[in-house]
Amino acid sequence: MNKGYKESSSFRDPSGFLFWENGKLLRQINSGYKEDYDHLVRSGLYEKLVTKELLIPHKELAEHTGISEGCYKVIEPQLIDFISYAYEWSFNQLKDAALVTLRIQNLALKHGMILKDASAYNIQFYKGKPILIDTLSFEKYQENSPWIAYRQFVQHFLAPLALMSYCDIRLNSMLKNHLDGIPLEMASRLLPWHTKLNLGLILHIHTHSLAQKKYQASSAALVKPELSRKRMEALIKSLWQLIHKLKVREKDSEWVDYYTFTNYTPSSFDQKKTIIHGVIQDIKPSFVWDIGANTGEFTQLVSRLGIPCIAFDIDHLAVDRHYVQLKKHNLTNTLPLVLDITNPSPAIGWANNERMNLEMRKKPDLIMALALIHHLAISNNIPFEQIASYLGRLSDKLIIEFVPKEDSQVQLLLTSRKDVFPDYSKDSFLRCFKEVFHKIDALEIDDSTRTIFFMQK
Amino acid sequence: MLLDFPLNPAVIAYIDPGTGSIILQAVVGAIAGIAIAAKFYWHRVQKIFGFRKKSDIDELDED
Repeated sequence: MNKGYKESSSFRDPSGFLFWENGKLLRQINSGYKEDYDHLVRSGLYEKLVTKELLIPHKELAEHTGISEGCYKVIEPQLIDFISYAYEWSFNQLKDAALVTLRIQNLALKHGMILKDASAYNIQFYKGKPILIDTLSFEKYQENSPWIAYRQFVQHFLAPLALMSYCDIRLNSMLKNHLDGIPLEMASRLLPWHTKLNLGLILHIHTHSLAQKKYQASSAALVKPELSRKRMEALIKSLWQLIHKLKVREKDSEWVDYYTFTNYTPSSFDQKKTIIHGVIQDIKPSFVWDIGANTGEFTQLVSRLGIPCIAFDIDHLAVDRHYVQLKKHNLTNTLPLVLDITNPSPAIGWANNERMNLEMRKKPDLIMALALIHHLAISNNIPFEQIASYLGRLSDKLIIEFVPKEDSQVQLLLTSRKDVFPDYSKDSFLRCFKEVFHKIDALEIDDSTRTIFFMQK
Repeated sequence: MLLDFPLNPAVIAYIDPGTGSIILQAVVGAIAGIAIAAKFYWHRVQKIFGFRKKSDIDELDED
């Protein structure tokens, strides 16, 4: 038996688990899952799903005997570089993940299988698209049996999507508090009354919530109403049509018009781009985080050079527009995610060890923080020392823009509050950042009071 | 309508399927089946009278 250690997020499903060995992520398939795994491969479902880029490809390690008793096979799935979670996705990312799950369920059914779980955490973004990463999510379909994962699908996907569409686009953040999806009685209560006129929402959320309440004390092991294949197909199609029609309510957000008010003349805006492009070309980073990326105007400078990039922004609508644009142009090396850098995603789940916090994930070798410093220092009262220390913990290299107090954007932040920031100056900014980043180059932009700094540890 | 399903031994899963969710599926499956069939015939009628030109095929059907 080989040595390795189990991945902390992989323990619920008795069919197998993920483990790390010599820096590689492998999956042990237990003997109890043999029949289902063999059917997945022999029925042609695995190949079909991989060809359609719906399931993560893997290779079988024939010689490997696993790291615990009862091992049937060990597989090496394609590694996902950067793990993200449903509470960090924008509306259309979550919607696409939901639709992909339904497509997989539909295809599985055609191959005599069914999804035995439908967790949003089994979906990751790979080459710009949502993909199922749990190869052990399938089991053989038994005619007339119900869909075990229906409740999980509705709680993980439909309920947050409906709330984001009908109440507030930020409501997928509720998934941070509800590990197994949003409770349906809560979703039903929060949704506006007119959703009770929508047949799909009546059935899948409102009545579903009542049914859960009515039967909460009954044992699931004693219940098996017949669900014919035709009705199962209708159930999937009905969820598909309902989710397909859900849309973001377009309203002006805080940031999406940001590039209309950049405080740069067109020529200095171009110059800013040229300067940043030059730095990136010189240092050739392998992985970049753009913090405060908005709709990705500057992220493009990285992605066009073929460098993978995570484009974080606090504004859901900006992240959503960014994602939709990337999808439209088939640009696959940037992943936009919703993140408030003043309150980054925590570690959650069992023992705070199932879903990683931001720092536990793949760190970048370059961070871009453009037009961000005044929001951190003035809107959020975070001292320069702490900003420098945190950014330095995340990356060895940094491109950061300093926005001086006389800048109209900073003045705007100060209109509604007392100026308690006597130390907000370029000198004090540099003094604090020099403590962490020892090599600093200032790159001045003509006709602008702002300065771009390239910093290295 | 939700109350009249026979209770049989069966469903064993590692996730909690939720008793209410299992029972509801049969009802939703039936209603959705009728709604989808009605929609299909309605679209055909619309097509005959020239109100509907575009094909209604989505990715789910293409798979």
